[in-house]
Amino acid sequence: MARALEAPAPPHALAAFRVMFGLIMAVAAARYVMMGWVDTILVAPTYHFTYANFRWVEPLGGHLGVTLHLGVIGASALALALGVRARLAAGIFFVAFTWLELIEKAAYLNHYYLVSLLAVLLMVVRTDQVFALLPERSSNDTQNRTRWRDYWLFRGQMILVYGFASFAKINGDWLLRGEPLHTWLQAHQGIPVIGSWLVLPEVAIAMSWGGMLFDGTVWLFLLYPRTRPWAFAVALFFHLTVWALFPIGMFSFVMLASLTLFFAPDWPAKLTGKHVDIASVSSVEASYDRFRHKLGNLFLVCWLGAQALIPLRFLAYPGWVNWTEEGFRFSWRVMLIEKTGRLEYTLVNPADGRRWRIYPRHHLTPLQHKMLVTQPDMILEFAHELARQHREQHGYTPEVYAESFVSLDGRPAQRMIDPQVDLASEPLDTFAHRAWILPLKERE
Amino acid sequence: MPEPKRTRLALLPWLILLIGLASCLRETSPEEDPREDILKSQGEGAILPGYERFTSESEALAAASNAFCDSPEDEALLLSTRDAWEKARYAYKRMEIFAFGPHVAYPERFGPNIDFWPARESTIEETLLSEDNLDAASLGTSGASRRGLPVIEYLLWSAGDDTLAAFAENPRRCTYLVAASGDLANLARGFEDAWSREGGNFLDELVAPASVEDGMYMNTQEAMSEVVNRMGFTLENIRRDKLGRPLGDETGGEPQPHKVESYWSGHSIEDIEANLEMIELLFHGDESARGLASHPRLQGRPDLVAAFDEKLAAARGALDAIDAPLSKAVLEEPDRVRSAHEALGELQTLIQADVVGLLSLTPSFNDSDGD
Repeated sequence: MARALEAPAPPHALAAFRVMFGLIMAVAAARYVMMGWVDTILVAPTYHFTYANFRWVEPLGGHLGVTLHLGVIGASALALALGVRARLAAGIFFVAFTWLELIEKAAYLNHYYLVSLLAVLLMVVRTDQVFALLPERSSNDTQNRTRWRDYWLFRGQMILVYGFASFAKINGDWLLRGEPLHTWLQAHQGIPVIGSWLVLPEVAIAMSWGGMLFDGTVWLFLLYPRTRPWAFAVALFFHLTVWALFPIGMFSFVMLASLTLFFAPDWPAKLTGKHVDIASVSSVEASYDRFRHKLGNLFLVCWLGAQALIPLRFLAYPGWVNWTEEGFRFSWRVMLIEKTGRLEYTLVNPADGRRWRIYPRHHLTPLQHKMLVTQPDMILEFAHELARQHREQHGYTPEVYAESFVSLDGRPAQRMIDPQVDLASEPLDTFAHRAWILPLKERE
Repeated sequence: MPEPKRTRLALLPWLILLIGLASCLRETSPEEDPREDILKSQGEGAILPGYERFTSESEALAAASNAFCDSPEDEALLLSTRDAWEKARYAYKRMEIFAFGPHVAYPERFGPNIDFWPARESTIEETLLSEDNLDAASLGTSGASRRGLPVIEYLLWSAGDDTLAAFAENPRRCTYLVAASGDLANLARGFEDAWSREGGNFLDELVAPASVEDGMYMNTQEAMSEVVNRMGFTLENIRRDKLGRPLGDETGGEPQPHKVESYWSGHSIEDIEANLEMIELLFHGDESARGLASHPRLQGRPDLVAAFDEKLAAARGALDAIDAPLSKAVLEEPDRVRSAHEALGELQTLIQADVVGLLSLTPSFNDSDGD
């Protein structure tokens, strides 16, 4: 097994992926600026929801600073695509992109997280042996050859993404009720002919099953040469349909680019009619550095092991993760639930019982408010922020209570947060279970 | 390389996709998309007639003000002017839910210019004392605190039993009343024109977004999301601004009776009832406008429709239980006001969580992707 991973492989498919990934990310950075998101997501909010342990991450200045930040992301993505010091470019891209991603939790997207992970892998693995304007200088060509391990690092990552996305869909709402797809597809009933068909519950259920089976098996069919063209055609159809129906930005294109890593490693060369001498790269060289390769294998095991464990952390918490969202993020629970709700806070002076009522919609941007009302950790975080603001104004820390009603996948709205618990006194940065999240009650 | 036969078969999903995309080019029909029909009928059957009614009531108020100021000692004319204000007020409050588009768009900003409240007493008194030219045209370029329904309300009610005397003592009070009423009628006509198809045609931006280039909404879903979410926002505004603030929700529980809406006329509860009337009309419809409840998704959930009726009735019952005026109630019977606040909160939850969720109308913003 280890020797198979260490065997040299043609670098073309990895290099082609680097080019595609870099171009997609350069477009994504330009799109971010053109859509005006620099202001609406990063500059306009007077308060940012942040991540545990990364609460210090802030926008780098105002409009100009953040636009320049996006410029760095775009430029490093282009350098990556062109193969100009590719690993250095990937490193710069990773830091700049992840910084941007960490500024505002309300803007969390699974595919942003995936982009950061892939950037790390592009930083670790050499992908500039071909299709590169300025490859790294190397004194030892043997050590810098592409190995099968490099492919399996990326492939393993994508298998985990698809696998967990499929696993997350195995629940009653998704498979038996066709929710939330049934609800979401209502938005497309205006499409003539298929619009009236899309809103049928049977269609939603069929599409739900299709999505679950696609995510669970596409990588398998891509691995086998005989089924590969079929599988990729289905993947194209699936991802482009999702892209056309839902506002998921560049996600479909990142996924499609990643799927090319399951092709034969020399596919780009074959596409251009060039012949790759497999024999010259398939034997293990004499000047073989065992320590270096063991290190490579160890990284592969640790990386994929961590990637397999992180999405499973929801098992450590009681309750249904789709309701509590404890262990929901960074777990490839992609387009899985529809939550809507109402949220208000009451601040109480513990000394004299005086009360203030806060309507968060008037303090936040529409995107922040939309995300806040249904996500317990954000509700807690904003409770702490309100307590901080009150402390600044009045000189004492108030008790903060949340009145939160949420509807999940069409269920009647119900309380999500225990209204008796003072959220200001609950710890903010903890990975322990939050007992103040009330369990989901099913209708009797 | 795949065999040729397989390659052809692999094109099958593309064929389906192409058929789907090609079908998008066809015209849509109301049967296929009830949202368009609901929006169109609400626009033509509730929104346009609502603004027309507000215009005619404002013009009636201007005429009544003129008549009263021809004989400012005549109490009957004062009472008929007050009555005209109440009718104009009610007509406007029914439309308060549509607080988007022309309501907030510069330069007119019809909403704030028509209804800047609570009235800024000091500004109105300053205007009464000044010697500046005061007519409808000059008010048309003034700030919101000098014009609109709350100013007229102040002029007609703030002196209480001595109102006729106040008009007699200061003739400029009548000048201001006539000017503000004339300005209000101008604003109402402008507002109606901004919505009408013959004028600014914001109506089609809302009810037929695909037919308007560079409109405010990308599609019917966004437009319907605007209307339905405004139902929830209006309920929140009632609870926050009209009940909560006077109850003391922003002041640690210390009541702020002067912060009620329509403070001088004591019309606060009627204002809220007018708001609820339009919410009910949009939900259930009437003979001229199709309601949200006729949407197939809601027809499949009779429990939600029944819950709406039950919660609306509870909210109205709680409001009825308040002995007006609200400015006294927040001091003397705050529990009843709080009960109304809570009952309206339940209705708000039903709309913002249940109805919005069922129809997939989560506010859509052009400010993020999702996944």
